[in-house]
Amino acid sequence: MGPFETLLDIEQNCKANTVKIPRQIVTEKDWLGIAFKASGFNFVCPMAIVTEVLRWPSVTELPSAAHWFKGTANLRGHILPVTDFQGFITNKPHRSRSLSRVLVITLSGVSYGFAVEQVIGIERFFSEEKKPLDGIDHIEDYLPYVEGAFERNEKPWLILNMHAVIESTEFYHIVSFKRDYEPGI
Amino acid sequence: MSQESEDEELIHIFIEEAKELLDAIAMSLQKWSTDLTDKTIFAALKRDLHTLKGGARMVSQPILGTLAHELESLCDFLLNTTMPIERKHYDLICAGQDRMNVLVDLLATQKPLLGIEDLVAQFKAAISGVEKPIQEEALPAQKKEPAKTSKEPEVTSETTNEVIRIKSDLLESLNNLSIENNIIRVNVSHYVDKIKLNLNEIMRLIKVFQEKASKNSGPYRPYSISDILGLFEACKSAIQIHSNVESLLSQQSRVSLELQERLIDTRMISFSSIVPRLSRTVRQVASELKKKIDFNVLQAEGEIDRNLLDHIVPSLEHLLRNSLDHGIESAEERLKQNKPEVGKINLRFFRMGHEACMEISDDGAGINVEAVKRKAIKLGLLAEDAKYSNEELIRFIFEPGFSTKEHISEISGRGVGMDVVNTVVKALGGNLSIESQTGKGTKCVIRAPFTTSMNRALLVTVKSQIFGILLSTVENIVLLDVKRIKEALKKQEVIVYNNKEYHLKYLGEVLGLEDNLSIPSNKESLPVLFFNFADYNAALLVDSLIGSQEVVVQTLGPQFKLMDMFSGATLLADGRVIIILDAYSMALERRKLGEIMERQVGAKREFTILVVDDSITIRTVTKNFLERHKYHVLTAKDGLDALEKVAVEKPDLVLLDLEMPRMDGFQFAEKFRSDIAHSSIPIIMITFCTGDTEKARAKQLGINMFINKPYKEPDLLEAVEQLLEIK
Repeated sequence: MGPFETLLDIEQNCKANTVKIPRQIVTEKDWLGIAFKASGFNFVCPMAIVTEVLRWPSVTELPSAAHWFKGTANLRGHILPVTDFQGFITNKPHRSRSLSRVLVITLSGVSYGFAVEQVIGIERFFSEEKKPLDGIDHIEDYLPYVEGAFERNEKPWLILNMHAVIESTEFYHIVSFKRDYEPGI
Repeated sequence: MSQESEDEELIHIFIEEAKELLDAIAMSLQKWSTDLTDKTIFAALKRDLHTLKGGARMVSQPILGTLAHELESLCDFLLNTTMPIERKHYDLICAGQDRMNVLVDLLATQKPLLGIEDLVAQFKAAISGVEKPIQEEALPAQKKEPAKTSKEPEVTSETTNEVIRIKSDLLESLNNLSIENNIIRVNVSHYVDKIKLNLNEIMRLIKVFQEKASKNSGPYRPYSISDILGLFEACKSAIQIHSNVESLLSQQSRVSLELQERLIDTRMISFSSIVPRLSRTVRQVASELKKKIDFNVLQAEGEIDRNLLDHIVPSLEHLLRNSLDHGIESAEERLKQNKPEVGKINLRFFRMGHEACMEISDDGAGINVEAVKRKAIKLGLLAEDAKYSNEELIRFIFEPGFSTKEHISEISGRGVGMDVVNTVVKALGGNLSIESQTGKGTKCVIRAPFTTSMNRALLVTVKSQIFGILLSTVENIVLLDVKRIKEALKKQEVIVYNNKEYHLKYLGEVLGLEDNLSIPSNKESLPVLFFNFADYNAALLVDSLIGSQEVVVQTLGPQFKLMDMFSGATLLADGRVIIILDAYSMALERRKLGEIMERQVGAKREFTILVVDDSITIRTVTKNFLERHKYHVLTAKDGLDALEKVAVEKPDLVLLDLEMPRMDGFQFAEKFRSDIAHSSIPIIMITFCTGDTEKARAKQLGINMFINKPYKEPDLLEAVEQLLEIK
């Protein structure tokens, strides 16, 4: 084998044994989101729309507000409306503030705060982990706002459709003028 | 002159874009001149010429469009030719670029454009190989080098920030004020250092006194005269410094105030600047409806905040469309009613105190209050036996999804307009009022603070909560005797003040914080705010007044759009959020109306269209056009930008250019389609290049339709509607 052939051989060997760089491995097949808990379920929200995760901010309550509308907070000079995510969807407010966090969701340039029971962190899922919603029990209240699910460790992770939440009629009924609800946190 | 070319606003956008593109072209040519064999510059050169061509054709400037096209062809030829590139080729392209600069300048000064036949002939000769000498008269010697530009190379057409022109003397005064402000800051900092030295000296002397006092147990004073004098001097000096700093701070407060006022001045533009756009809307809609309109704009010379105007223009356009579609009757109908055949719409702009007022009035049929009432009952917004004044009933048209029109037209009738207008006006801290007389016409008045920067709010407390009310809405603030208040509440809540009757209400009750007013026994008087709204006088009783202060009112966001009673929020110095109440809604107790309303939000969702094009002219024209047809429009300047946009908001349809910097249309389509969530979203490609190869590639990538540039508006609309219906 001459020197040129040797070089060609080395080149071919290199090409055959190349390991792809990590960025190429995790391409369109994976899904990245912020995971959190509500009503005992795990939810995931697309990473691109969660702009911040806050501890409970100090909020100004609204007179006669619906139980799930917690008020307005000062987010570095901007007004942030804060909604109790679980309370809004299930009508049962969560009570603990110790682990609770507020997710700042930004859609069409508008930010909304959603208080959730507990933030788990950033989770990466793969398309093989997709699971149909049919087999998941007790998620009736959440169904209109969920667009799919992943399964990991035999537990469902529900993919939230925040557009559906902010487009729902009820989301705009922030004042009730009735005091027949269960007092929240 | 065609209608397109009359549109000054679009021409202005195009001229700005063309100048940036020509600067970028000049930079490319500069680079090329150093090495004529370097063909890498052609990609950028062709893309800039292509964008310029698209923009020129969109604003009906065929001469510029053709010149850009011919230059692009010459670049194409030079890129692909095997023959060596010579200086004459470079000179020829420079001649083309120079001519373009001249043409853009002529366009900017509204002078007739020069011909380009001589240059086009030379381009064609160069391509075919039969070359003619470059005519000296067409290519002045001093212009053979590309025009020098002061801009950095990276400043290209991608810059989309709005450019504001400021008078040089105003800029000069802003600069001086800023310098003065800085000098004061330096002086204050000098005194702060000085006072620190003083305080250290005082501390030292006090320590000396303490030490001497502890050592001395006898009857004689332990302090020397010089110690006491030293302390006295140090204190005197500290007092002097304090007074100096106080005077500096008062100077700084004046300078800051002046600086703020001048900065507000930079944002003021003449209301007349939007008149061409509004006239065009009226002309277009009138021609679509086949109605004859006499549109008059009165007192348009006043100035208004640019930000406020930008927000309010779509609302004015909506009100004009409503007047044309709902208000003005057809010519036959008008003649039957002894009205002139030509309908009249007046737009008047005027100032009232701190408010800018825009009044649109027409001599049309007026609002059919009975139809509004029937529709409100049908929608479950109103009980059948409810009694409301005509003025209150008219306000139902502000409800989302409310339209009395039987048929939806392209112009109006979807019932998604007036609520948006109301929301926008409220968000600006303003108010929208409508007066209408059946058969005689309608008058809509938008009142808004003439600058959006600052407002004055009155802070009040009710049930220990603080609320703000815009001071400009309050007629009077009076401390009234508790006895008088109690009597008024007994007398059907009417109180007489200054010979006028006011409807008195307790704010806590209106807000639902308390069912009945219970006045503490130790109170002798309570503050009452008086309001005078058109034909309704109201008085609101509050627990206490905190005072008034300058506030920046922020919008509360879309979630509050149904809440009439909250007009915005502001932040106090300690960071607390204070809700600003809408006095008009409070006075009318519109929250009670809210209780019986079955809202229609979300029932009518707008379609979202993403427009991806590297030309700001095309993006703006397309966006304006689609928004006129009630679509929500997102824009992106290239494929990469578009991918970022779709990650945040999913569009219902994409209008895509092919040739763009960073990521072209095909590359975008490939990435976009690879996400399963986007597989069914239609894509329309709008481009000049529609060869078979492109078409085959497009089909492979799932592009649903091709439209040629410059597109005809009806064709685009038809394509969009067709694809959205299919979807």
